[in-house]
Amino acid sequence: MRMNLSAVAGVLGMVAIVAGFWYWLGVQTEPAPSDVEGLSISRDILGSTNDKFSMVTAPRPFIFPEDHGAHTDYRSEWWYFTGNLADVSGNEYGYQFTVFRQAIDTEENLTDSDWETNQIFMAHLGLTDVQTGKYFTSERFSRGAAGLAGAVASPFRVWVENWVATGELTDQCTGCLSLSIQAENDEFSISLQLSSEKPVVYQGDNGFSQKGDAQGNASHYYSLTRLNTQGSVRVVGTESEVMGTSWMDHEWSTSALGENLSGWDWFALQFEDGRELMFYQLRTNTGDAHSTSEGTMVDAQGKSTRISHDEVQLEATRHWTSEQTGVAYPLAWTMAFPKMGLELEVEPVIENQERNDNFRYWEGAVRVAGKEDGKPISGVGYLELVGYE
Amino acid sequence: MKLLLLAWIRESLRRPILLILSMLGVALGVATVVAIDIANESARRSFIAANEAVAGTATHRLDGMITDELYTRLRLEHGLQATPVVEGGVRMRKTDEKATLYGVDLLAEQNFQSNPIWNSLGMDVATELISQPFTIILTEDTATELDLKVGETFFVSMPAGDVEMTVAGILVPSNPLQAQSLRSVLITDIATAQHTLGMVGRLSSIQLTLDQAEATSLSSILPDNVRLESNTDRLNTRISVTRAFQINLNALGLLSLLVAMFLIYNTTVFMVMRRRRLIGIARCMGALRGSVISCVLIEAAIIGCIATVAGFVLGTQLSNFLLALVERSIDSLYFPFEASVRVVAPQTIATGVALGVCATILSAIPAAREALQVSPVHLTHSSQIVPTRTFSLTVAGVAVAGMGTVALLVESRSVVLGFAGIFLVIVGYMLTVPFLIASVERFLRPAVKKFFGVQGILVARAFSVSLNKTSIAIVALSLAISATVGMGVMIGSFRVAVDEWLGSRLTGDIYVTTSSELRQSLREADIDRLESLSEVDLIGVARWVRLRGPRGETRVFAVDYGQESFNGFEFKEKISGDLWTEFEAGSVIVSEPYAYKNQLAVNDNLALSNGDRSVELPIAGIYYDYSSDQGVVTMHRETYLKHFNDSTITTAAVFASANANVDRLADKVRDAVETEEARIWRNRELHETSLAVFDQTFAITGVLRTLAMIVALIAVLSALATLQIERERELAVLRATGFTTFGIWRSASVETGIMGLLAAIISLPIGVVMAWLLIWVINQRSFGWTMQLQLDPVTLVQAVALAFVAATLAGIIPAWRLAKRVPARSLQSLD
Repeated sequence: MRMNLSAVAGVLGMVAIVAGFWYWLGVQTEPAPSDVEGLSISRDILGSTNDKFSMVTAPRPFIFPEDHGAHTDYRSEWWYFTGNLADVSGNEYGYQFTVFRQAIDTEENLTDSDWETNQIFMAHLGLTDVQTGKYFTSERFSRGAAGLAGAVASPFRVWVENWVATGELTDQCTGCLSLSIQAENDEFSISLQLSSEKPVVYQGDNGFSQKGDAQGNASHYYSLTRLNTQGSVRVVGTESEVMGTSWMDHEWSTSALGENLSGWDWFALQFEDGRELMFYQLRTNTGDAHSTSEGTMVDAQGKSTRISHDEVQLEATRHWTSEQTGVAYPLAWTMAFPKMGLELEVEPVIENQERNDNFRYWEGAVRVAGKEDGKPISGVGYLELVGYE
Repeated sequence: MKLLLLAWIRESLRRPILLILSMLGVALGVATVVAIDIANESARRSFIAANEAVAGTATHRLDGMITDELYTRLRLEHGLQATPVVEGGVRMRKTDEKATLYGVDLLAEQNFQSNPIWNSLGMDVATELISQPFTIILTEDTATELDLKVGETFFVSMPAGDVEMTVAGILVPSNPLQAQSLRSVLITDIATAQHTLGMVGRLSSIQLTLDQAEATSLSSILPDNVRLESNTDRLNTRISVTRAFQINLNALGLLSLLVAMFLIYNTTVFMVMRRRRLIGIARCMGALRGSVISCVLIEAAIIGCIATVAGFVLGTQLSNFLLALVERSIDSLYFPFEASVRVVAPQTIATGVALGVCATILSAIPAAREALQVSPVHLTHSSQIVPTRTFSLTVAGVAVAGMGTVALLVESRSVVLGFAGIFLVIVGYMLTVPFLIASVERFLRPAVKKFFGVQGILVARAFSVSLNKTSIAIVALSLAISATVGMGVMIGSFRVAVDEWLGSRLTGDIYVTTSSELRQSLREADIDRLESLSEVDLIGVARWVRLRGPRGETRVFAVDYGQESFNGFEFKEKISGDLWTEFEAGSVIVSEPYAYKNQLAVNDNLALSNGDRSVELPIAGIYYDYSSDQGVVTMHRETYLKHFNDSTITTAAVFASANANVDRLADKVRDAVETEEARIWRNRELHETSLAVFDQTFAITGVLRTLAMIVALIAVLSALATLQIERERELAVLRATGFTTFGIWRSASVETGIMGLLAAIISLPIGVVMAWLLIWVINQRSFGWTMQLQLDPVTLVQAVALAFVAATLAGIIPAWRLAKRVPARSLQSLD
């Protein structure tokens, strides 16, 4: 028995030696805690002034096709396509395709390489499948170099790699476009043909859209408010032929938001009677609506009327809190335009249309219903909620 | 039991030298095995790390002549997930150290947010890297090494001039693997990398994430000079092509341990003999046989444990050195390789412990058996040499060697089996050594008597009496010497073969080659200019290209150097007709490794394709070739042009006219060639460089040989020490009867010298056999090539001299100690 004990002791001793050695090695190969050196993360690429860029300070005449392309003198720019679609069996879809351009510096040509760039492009793709209640998003970045991404006026083409919107001017009106949008990822894709139904709408003061108190807190902004749309969408392997209406915004600026502003609620509504309503409410840091909030009503013939901030009573009636991020968004709204005798209720087609990639915001298809002078009015649209924490 | 163990260990501690020598021997053996294991495992992990570091989640990789446009096309037209890489070597101006400039497009990765740069440095640093040319990101270690902080500038030296870079961010790697793989890497934007490295418009590689269908359709649209490779294939190929090489290293490591086992055996047997009295007393007092065995084995286990730990410490240190050599060998034998990772894997530790502790315990088993035979009766006997069992050992030896021979004769491609066979043959042979020594000693005795008189008789007698122990020392030494001879002869033969091969195959006087990385074509105009040079007799042109063969990628050499040059090929097998005529008519010839690996024979048809076109060509000959262990297929350039319609030229051979001055001609060639990245080699340079690469490749073998030799020396030292201790009393008698110190010293030296000579004589034949087996079994199975055995007398004489000197030296210290002792003390000693 004693001998066995000794043997056990010997084995234990060996194990101890080996274990000690192992520990010593382990200490040597223990991963070092990851640490950060460098500059802090700033997710805010929109906003902040830079005197290297031109500022938007006054209305200017728009020239097409040139103004469909990029305005690289300005810091930020976006081409926004949203739309409500339905297939033959009545399944509804909402889509968003946006190309953002951001200039990161103005110095150029320090190297001989075609890859050198001061333009970063980002594209956001979103698809809402109302039937299943699912919302898909995808995001892409690319440099505006080596042909990988860019925005060209004529023939119109904005693209981030193989996500692309191309177009041709049509005779219908100045700046009117016949467009084609292709974008896909593994889960879903859109392939759409869009054609202008109405002339270009110049938002704000002839396309000069003030967004804050200070001079320069403004953008140049025009829209194609009704684009007849047809094509196909693919959701998880199922492709459907769809039809509907889309909306295009093109906006550029160097300093879009005033310093005391925290975000905006943007409505783009298309009524069945052929009219469209755009309204954005800029929110101050205290949560109030800023005085430069405004909108436009476009009649069936394409004639637009400005709507000022004090002509609207806007109220959020229901909030929804994202499970994923914990952010509460006001998703249901009432809008009253006493001067026009118009009362509207806006409801999302589904609640979860929150984008949560590098930039978090809620961008989703909505339904609108209400009364105008007692007569019912309805339509579809898109709601964008930015700057909620 | 406890008392016995204590007494046992106390006895051991009385002879610390022996204990230390045993431990040192085992420690060195373990260290060698562990170091090789670490080096091998680190190399393997480095492949994986390198693969991951560049590939990330990518599944495929494009190499070759990649343009910006190709990348844009892949992204825009084919919508493929792709990331571009532009990389190249630069030098830090301040330290003159090499570094890698690694150009990336941070926006290209699909999930670039998870990229460590975005993740830990944030968008500002990332956008700065993109928007500000000549900014770089480096790891914390590299920054510390170069003494750089964020915002500071430094210079990298480029042929076109120094380039100033600014540190945009310092990355703290999230794990050691990442830290190592990003060591001395300067991460920059792809635009900066293209500009700085002079690669505007070109990419080094493209990483892709593809499924099988995408991969298939992609390969059909790729330009000819761009290759698509699967990252897992690439990794597996790397691991498998280097496997044979690594097995070779492991086997060499085991050899050291085998030598160390003889050392342990020797020491433990000696310890038991020394304690015959102790065992006898213990047995008289009622100690059981089991307790005695336990004592022997526990002692061995303790020695094993301590030595294993020491071996680990030594091995981890040694592995740094070995890894550098492994790195060089892999780099010159297989592919550009830098070991980025050094890991001590759990299995390395397991192997080390198993080998160190188990080998020690195993080696102690004979000693334990010896201890069993000590009966209480031995108390009354002063000393007794256990009779040698030469006969049964010889029978066992023959049987073991027979098993080894059978293992070698088995038709197989297994390198491991080959080594097992060789080991068995050697061990079997070594078991017959006592018998051989007895025979040789009987033969030598008259001569010794004649030369050394009475002393000689004493030496010879002592020798045969202590044959048991002498044999062990001789076996250990023989084993090491035979390994030296075996490897020396093999490498020597190999070197001669390579030298001759280079001589017969490098027929051109000057070679112009394009960068092997890009395989850019030499310009037609360059060839025309070369042809118009007055001292030039002939310009031969060739194209190195990779085609798809029956078992994956195949290196093809499409050559037109003329018939005279063709005669430089030496064939192992060939068709009966005129080979040159067949070759010109469209047959191919394949190198020996290619034929071996693809199991091809003369007259077989070989299918080759480049994605677009496929062709089947008859094999007209198998030639000796040592350029690549993956093998090469050679065809006439006309054959290649006809089937693949690709007129790229990657090599031009300049054949000078009879009286031309090659050095002057080389200068003219240099002036005539305008292709960027073209390199000019004179025949002599190429020959010398190739041999230098060869020597570099085998540097590690030399180190392992030396290690085995050191262990053997320790074994001899230990064996001699035990012998002299045994004979203290006897020599003291001699001293007392009038022998001088010098006389004692001389007799001891003569004895060890004879041992050395015996070891050499015994080891030479087995060494040559080993060389022969290494060439025909191991080399064939590992690399697919064979060569003629070249017996260089220098190698053999060196081995004999080494054995003699080693043994004599090993004898000096114990003899000197012995001579110094006062005879009376030794005479009084108990045993």
